[in-house]
Amino acid sequence: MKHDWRASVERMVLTMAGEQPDRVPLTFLASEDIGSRISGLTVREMMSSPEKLADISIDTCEILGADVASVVANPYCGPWEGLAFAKANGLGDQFEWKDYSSPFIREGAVCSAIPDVEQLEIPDHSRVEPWPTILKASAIVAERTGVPANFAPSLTWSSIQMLRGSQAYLDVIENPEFLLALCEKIYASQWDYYEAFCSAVGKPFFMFNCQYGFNRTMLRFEDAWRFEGQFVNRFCKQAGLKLAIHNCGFDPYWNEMVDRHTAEGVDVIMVNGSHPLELDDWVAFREKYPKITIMGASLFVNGELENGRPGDVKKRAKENIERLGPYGRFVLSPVCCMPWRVSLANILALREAVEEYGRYPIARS
Amino acid sequence: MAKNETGTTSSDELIARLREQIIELDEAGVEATTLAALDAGAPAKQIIAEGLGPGMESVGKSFEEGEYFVPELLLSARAMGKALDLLRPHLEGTEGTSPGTVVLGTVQGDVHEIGKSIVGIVLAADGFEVHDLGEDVPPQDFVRKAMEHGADVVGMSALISLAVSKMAETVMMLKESDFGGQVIVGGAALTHESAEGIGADAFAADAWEALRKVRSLVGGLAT
Repeated sequence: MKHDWRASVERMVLTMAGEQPDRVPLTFLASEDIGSRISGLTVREMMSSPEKLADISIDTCEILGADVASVVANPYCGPWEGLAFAKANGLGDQFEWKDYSSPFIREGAVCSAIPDVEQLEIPDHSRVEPWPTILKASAIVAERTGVPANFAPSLTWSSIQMLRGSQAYLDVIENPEFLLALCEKIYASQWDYYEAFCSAVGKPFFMFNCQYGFNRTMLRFEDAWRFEGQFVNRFCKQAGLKLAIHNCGFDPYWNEMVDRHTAEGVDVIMVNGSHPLELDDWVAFREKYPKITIMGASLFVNGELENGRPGDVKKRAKENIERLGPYGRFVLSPVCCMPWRVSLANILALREAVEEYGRYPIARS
Repeated sequence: MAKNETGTTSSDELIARLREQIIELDEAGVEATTLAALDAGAPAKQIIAEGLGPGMESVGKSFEEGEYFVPELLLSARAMGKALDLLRPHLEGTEGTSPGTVVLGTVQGDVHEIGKSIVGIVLAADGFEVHDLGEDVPPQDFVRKAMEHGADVVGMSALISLAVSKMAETVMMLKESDFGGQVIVGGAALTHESAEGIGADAFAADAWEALRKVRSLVGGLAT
């Protein structure tokens, strides 16, 4: 059956506006791995042209039954910003391609080779590959599906860790000025990405940003704000964008993040996370922040999806839908990228779950 | 710091000071006091067991209580690592020094190293012989190194969900090989349930849980 992208767009728009669509929407973070599985091509082949990448991305999203069409090359916190930085600084050989999974750059390799932040070259996102390919593919996907392209920069901790490695955690105490200078460099790079995105795809509606620094097991909230939050907040205000926050870490500072961004003048419209795993916590979040869309909740990729059967996945999805769906502003999503061990049957069980249990009106449980 | 009759600080006092310096993240102090404790005649094993080890345990408690975060863990681990480097020559040939051998690494497809590095330091502080294979370690390397070092336990970390597939493959290869030890896994991509699902013998959410579990696994092997 042909995927009705117009219905998908309407579903997402109504959901985020707090109105009830026909059913709960379903989204995936479509990574290189899943694109590779669906297409049978290596990551290099998939990314050999914008048209091919766009075709595979649309095929993948349609097969999965997603209500958001995105390119199967993670723009956010993923390897591609690392590759662009490496290339811009003559370190392209530090990048490791993988045949059928996401490639990466060795953490800390860039800053080890170029210890002076001032000397670090920012990639030109309109010229340094893979960005022109990804951006053009994004434009094609948006045009063919009618789904607005996702603007997802890498501000800032995911980029810090990629460029500086674990040393960054020591810098928090020993060398904070260096770290702040690196944050400014990353900010400038992401602004360049934003301009390239606007030029290739158009101005985005909001910004979808990973905030991995904001985990209770990693940094104090104030340090996370200093080295990540304040840059995200400044970026949103400078670009005039609302904010969607992604964090699939163990123990995110959800309430504190939302409160601080709001207090500092940025409108948080969506959170995308899998933890806490207790649904009660997400219900409490819903009550506290009724106008923020929850994308994800307690659907952990490495839980039922990876180790269960389709029935287990559907059961978990049903619980999420029954507890969060009735209030609206809820999108079912596995939140993080799906490894090869997640069977296609389990992924497709989510599609069945939104059809079986996600039709509005949904009774409050 | 009190001095004894000859005007020098006793080894017991130095060891107590060492414990405090680990907690206070005083890296230079830890190095100086470790050397002083050795000069004062303290056995390396006692310095670890009564000074560094309890210091790290206290750091772990502060972490679990939300007072310390990863930066503090890394600083204390680095201080601990430097002290262990100074003590290592004095441990060689000491009978009964190590309760077991652990091979550690971050699985293929993942380059995050902090978690398993801290686990390595904490285990070393407890006297374990630790072989850290680094990051992006292929399954066959885990098997080869586990056999080569006669490991009692193999510890694996995965932060990103995509890497769990390789972790599962590694566990399977270890179980199919002649490696007779046990496997512990950790990292943000896992839970107790998912660790069980990939066939691991144990899961640890942080370094101190890893220490308790490894002690238990090795104890189980001994019996």
